[in-house]
Amino acid sequence: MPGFTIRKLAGYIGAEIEGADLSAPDPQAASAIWEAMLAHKVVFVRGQHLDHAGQVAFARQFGQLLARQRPQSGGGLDEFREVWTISPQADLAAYGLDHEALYRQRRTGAHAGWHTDLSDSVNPPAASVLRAESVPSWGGDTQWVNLAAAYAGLSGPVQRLADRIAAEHTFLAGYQMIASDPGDASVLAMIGPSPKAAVHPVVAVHPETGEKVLFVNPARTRRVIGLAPPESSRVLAMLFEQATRSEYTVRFRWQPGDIALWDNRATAHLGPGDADGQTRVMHRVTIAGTRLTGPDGFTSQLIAGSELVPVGG
Amino acid sequence: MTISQAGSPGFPVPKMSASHQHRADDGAAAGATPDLAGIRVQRIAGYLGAGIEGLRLGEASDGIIAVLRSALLEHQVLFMRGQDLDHAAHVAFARRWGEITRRPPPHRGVFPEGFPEILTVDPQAEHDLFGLDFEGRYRGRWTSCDAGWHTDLTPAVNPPSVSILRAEAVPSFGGDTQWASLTAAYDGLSAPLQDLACELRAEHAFFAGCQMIAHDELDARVLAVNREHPLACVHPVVRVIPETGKRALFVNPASVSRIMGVSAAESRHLLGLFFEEATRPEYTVRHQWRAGDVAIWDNRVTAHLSPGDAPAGERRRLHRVTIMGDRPVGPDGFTSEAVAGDPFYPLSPEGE
Repeated sequence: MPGFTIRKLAGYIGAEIEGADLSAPDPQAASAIWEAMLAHKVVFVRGQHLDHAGQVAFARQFGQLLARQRPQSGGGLDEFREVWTISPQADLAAYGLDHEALYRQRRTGAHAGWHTDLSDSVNPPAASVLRAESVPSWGGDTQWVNLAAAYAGLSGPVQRLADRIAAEHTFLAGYQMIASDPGDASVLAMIGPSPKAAVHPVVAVHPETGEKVLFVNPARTRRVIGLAPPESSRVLAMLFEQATRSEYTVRFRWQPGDIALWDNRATAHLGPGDADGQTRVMHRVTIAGTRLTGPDGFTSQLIAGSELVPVGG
Repeated sequence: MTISQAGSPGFPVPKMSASHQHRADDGAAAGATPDLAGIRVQRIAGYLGAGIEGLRLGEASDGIIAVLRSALLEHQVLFMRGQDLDHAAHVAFARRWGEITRRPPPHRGVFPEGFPEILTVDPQAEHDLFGLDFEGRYRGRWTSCDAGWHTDLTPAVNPPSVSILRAEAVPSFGGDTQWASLTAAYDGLSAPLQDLACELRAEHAFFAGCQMIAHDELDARVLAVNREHPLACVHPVVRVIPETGKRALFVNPASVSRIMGVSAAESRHLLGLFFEEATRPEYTVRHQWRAGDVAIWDNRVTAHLSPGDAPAGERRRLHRVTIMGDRPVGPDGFTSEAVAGDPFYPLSPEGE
């Protein structure tokens, strides 16, 4: 183990890596960090204070990187297509609208904010790296949930049902947008011309660990294919409840300079949304992933939009 | 045979049995047995329910009983207007369907003097006997708007096969009964959920669909009586009917307490799904009672509900006789098991 220790944080998910320096690429350390991520689903490294270049270089050790999905500029972002800045202040500056705050108001359930990054794509990221630049003095944590634990915790009959069904993912599945609201209308206008949708197996066999993962999330999973709408909504409600059970979660209290690396194929995550009005600047980089495969061999299908293509790919 | 709906797009046409070729639109009797002259079977709703016209139940021949049995398998609930049976004729007619069963005391409920085979459904009679309208009270404890849907006596390991209900007095409006086809409900499930349902079992107990309040005096008494004389069992979620091979989604919101072998959270969601399916409007039929009407239903493949809209102060008095049934059997051969209480036994013809 290259010079750092791994400390487990919660019962089913999450570990802090102590004594690591991520400022310079280190293949051996990167390999050990990736292994720790596979085991713990999300790992945290505090006090790294990377800049865009440092974050991209760190993430690039794990694979090709995806470009951000929405245009952003300023703050050095023009040089780094891989970096997506998550900040109410940046959103307000660019669009005059805090998108996250709007989405929170439109969630159809209290738990509808739980999501897996870009699961409306046919090939969602394998992993995400999030770094904190500025954090609020209170609130603004992030929670992750272990979806392999969620699958393992299902009863046998429900596992067997889940094993054989597939679900459609779309960006606004967990939201009730209001077309007459100007903010909503701007979002719908942005998404409308280029809708994205993908069908993923409800249970994905993890390509590296072989674990079965309950790959549904309330924000993006819209319906179960092959079920009638009333059946689909009941089955998804059951699976969402399981996929967000508190015992499978960990919560991280950010400090400036912290890094989180999570396995996006085995987790969902949530910003509780309790830091209103405070400055919070986070930067995300995503590592390219593949289509998912179910226990029966079903592979994710593209319904609308295009595959995610890595930068330079 | 003539089935007026046959050929409509997407309309499921049940396989008609040979003895069941008598329909209003056939005109004269075209059946195999001369006894059947004049009997007409008129289908009422899309998935279940038929009106039988042109017979007197009190005078039915064995051939007619055979026709009714066949029609019941096909239509699941039969309605015969204007029969005007008395208690003795009701019981005598019921005996031709099989042995009669009743819940033993202290759950026996109201019955006419001399006729322990009969359960009288009458809020006023309950009020006279118990000092309150029991059913009306527990309607107020339903945990959902659909929690009144029930199949008769499913907390018993061998629920009745057939129920025969007759109306003595009916209100000037309201007080209908609805039935739902649980075979249509099973057929309507998507294949993944059919397969899931086929491997599940459910616990049935009285008051499963009611929110009982332990510190309420009457609730506490009811709970105490049920604790002292418990009746609970585990039935397969899907029941296979031996005569037809049909599968019924054998769950009902009033009496199913949980799915076995899954978590409580999963059970809640799955039951919500199954209950919603079992009570879909398209699988139901509704009968507006007139005094003298008789309804016969296959209690193995239906649930029913009284919407509870009868006007206060008007009499609604019905009488029910139930016929002994078998232990349900699931697609995998699982046979219902008692959790608490005795199976139902037949009443002797002399009563008790």
